[in-house]
Amino acid sequence: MMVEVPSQKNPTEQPPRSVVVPLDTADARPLSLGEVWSQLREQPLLRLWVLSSGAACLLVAFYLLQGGSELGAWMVLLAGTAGWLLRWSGAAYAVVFAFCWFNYFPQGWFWEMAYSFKGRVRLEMSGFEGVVAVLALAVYVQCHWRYVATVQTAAELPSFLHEGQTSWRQPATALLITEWWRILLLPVVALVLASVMWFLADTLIITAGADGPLQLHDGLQRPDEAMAPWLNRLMVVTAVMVAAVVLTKIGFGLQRWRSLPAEQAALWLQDQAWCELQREWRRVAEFGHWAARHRRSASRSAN
Amino acid sequence: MLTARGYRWLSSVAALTFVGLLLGWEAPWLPGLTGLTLLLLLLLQWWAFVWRMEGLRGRLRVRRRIVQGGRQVPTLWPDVPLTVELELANLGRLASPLLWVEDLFVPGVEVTGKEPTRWCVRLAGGASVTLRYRRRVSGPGCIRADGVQVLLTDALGLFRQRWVLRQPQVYWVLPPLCDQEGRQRASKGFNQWPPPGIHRWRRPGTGSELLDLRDYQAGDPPKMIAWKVSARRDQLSTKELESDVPVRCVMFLDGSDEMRLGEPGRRPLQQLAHAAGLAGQVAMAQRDPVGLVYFDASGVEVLPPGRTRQHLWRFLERLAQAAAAPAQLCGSRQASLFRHSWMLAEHLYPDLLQNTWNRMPLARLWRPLLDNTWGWLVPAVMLANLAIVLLLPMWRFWCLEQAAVFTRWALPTANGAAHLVLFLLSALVLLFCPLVVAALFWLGYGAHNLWGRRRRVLTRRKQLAALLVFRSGAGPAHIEALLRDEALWTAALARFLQEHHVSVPVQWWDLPQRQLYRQPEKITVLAAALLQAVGRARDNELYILFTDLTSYLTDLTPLVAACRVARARHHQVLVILPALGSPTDEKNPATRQIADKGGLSPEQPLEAGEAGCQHLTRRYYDVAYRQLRRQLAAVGVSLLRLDTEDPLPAVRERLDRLRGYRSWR
Repeated sequence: MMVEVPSQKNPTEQPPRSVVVPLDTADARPLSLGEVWSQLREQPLLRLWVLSSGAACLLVAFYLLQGGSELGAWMVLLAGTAGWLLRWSGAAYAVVFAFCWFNYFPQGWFWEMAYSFKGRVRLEMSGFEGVVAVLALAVYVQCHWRYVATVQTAAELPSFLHEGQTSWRQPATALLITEWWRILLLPVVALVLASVMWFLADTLIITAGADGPLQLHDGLQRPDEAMAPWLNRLMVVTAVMVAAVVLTKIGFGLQRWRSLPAEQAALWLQDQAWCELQREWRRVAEFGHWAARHRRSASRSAN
Repeated sequence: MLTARGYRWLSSVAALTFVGLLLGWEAPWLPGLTGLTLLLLLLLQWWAFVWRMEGLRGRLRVRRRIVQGGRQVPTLWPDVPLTVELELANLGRLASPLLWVEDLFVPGVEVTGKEPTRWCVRLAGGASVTLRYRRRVSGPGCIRADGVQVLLTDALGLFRQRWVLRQPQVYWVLPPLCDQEGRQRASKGFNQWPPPGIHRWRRPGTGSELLDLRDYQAGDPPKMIAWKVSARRDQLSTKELESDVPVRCVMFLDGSDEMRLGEPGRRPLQQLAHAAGLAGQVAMAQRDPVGLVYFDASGVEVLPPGRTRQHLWRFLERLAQAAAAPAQLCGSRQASLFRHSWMLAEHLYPDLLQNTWNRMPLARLWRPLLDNTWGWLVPAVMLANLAIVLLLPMWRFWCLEQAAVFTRWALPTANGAAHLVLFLLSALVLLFCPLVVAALFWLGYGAHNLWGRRRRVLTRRKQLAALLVFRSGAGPAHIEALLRDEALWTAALARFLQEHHVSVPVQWWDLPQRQLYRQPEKITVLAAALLQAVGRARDNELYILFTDLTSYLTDLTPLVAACRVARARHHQVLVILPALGSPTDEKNPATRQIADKGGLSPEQPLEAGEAGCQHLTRRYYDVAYRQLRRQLAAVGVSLLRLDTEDPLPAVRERLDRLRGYRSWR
């Protein structure tokens, strides 16, 4: 196997412009635990992902522990460790679920709700610490999945590609340090946007039948005709998300049509011509009927 | 675009956000904020992925070169290592996400080798890489490379997009070169200029071998006088030399579908083309003209005999082209053809099957009722119902009366409004019941194709038809023809599969399936072609028939007659049969057991069915071979099998016999 990589003047200082890793079936399959250890020894970037996810997991556990939910903290740590050792992609679900569950029910039992037993088992935390915990949770999810994509599975392959091989993982040698910064940056941006949306969802009030349907809540009293708070929040968030998705689709869709490859453009034109063909045939048939009628009436009048 | 992991994550996060928004500030707010953060995180990742993907769309270029023997070649030789070079370039400004790159050789092309053809690639903007791997192709024919498939994924495995960078290229694989002894070509070139005098013909001419002596006649050149003989006889005698005429060798290659069955590299036609290439080169090495008659049941194509170097290349190319295509699927149901074609199209043309530019309009899925003759009954029923209601007051009165009776019976104690509603409903049902039933039937009949499997099948058929028409350039009206004409549709699908070298999975021991490809007409065509060649012959010639005649023992009469004519004119005829397939597993105990016993026993386990079929087929073939040899030997035609005998000594022996054993060997 020969791979030619463009030469770099100083490869130690700049990241490589191109990375090529040959894959055979052995390279694309999930790694065993021993292979993961050897990869962790050899690849510093993979260690960085594991350390990041471990730190984030610890932060979430400390938050729960500080709030008086020992069981939640242990469950988060357990799920995080299992996710690391077993290369288990479901660990992200487990950690998120544990975090949310023990926020609502700090003792773990659903009848001991945090908000219905005031002062007893409530998580006594400030808002900032909570926001940091959410950020840590998002970082954990990102880092853990990057780790899983490197040692376990990145994507499923279409079934007809290769017999016996159903998935593919991204080799650790293809990792870049710039990726780490980007993946850490995204949760911060998402958290800022989510905070703004959360604020909007609570302060923007939809009032049916009012002169202006949208009003800002001053925090004192909600109008009587305003929607129920949960419905209000749901509608605001749904509207914002749908608008974001639709605008993105429109923007990228327009860009896609502008740079349409020749083959797809030709096929689209053929498709349009085929659709027009139906209408054209119908017009021709109608014209034929009309001409026949006209001929009959003309011959009748001539007779 | 979302992977399974992406779908699971999206649904989980959406559910979490939904619960968080429902509870809001009335409960701990962190889960809601968490759900919203994770949802927005997914949205941001989607944006980033689509941004980089769109930045790369149309800007990823691939160029393929095949290097054999240290230089780029347009045609290939079998069993010689070749190197495939793929140059992948990112012409955009954005760096690509991680790409899963694989070179696509169409399924069915046998490319042996162990090196991977898949890479994980990340390309910066404007960068390019060259990927190389080595392969070896076995057997003449062609290899077809359709392009490179690229799988784009994000770093977390949440999004995926598959592209095929199409660059269809066909490389002919010519039969191997050899010397006059049939040895494979070495690095040193052989001297193909034979010594003079080997093309003997017993007729006075200008050759170099002595034919006869005769009395001197006035005008004979003095250099032709045999001085010693003249001195001995005391009378002038003149030498007569033999004519130096080459022996023409015409090869008849069977290109029927029956010869194209099986796996690539092991097809009978490829074996025969390989043998024909060697035999032709052996003849051409002695300056004998070699011609090729390629025939099947539909007709013949003739390459006239020649012996130049250009003719050799034309001969080898024609052999490679003949051996390239697999058989067309025959006897398969249309559904099977459709399924195979759809899978192939999805594999190679995923972008051209997208709904955006290849869609099925909803209106075309509506099934018109009035296209059927009986369909006019439905509107007739509706009109009749309306006419009865409008024109027969007695019927209206009866219906209203019955409705009132029903209302009184159903609601004896209810108030006026309920009475009125029930009365109106029952009156409408009684008055317009046939009309409503007919309208519902019309609706159900028309909407039958609008959902479920029927909709999927019709949509796929239209998309595939549009793709086939797009490839052939036949115009949009041809889509309609493919949608309506089943025979045309089946033929187009079979042609599509054959063009992409999808081999027909019929094993050599599957006699019932092979019977579907039997074409007795080809015997008549072969006999006519042989007679035509005999008619055009000038001197004694050698005819080599590369075909499989074992399943045509009862249809050989015209061919035997043609062979008799050829032998009567002192031509040589040789028939070469392809090798029978090898057993699946020689070490299989069941196969060995059957082979040892000489047949299947009643207590043979079912697992040995395949081995039993192989054994029976082999026995049938042996019996047919013996009968065929007996029939052909009666008219002086020799028969050879590629799996048991080397045809080259026989070809050389026949050529020498035609030259009167004057070969220079």
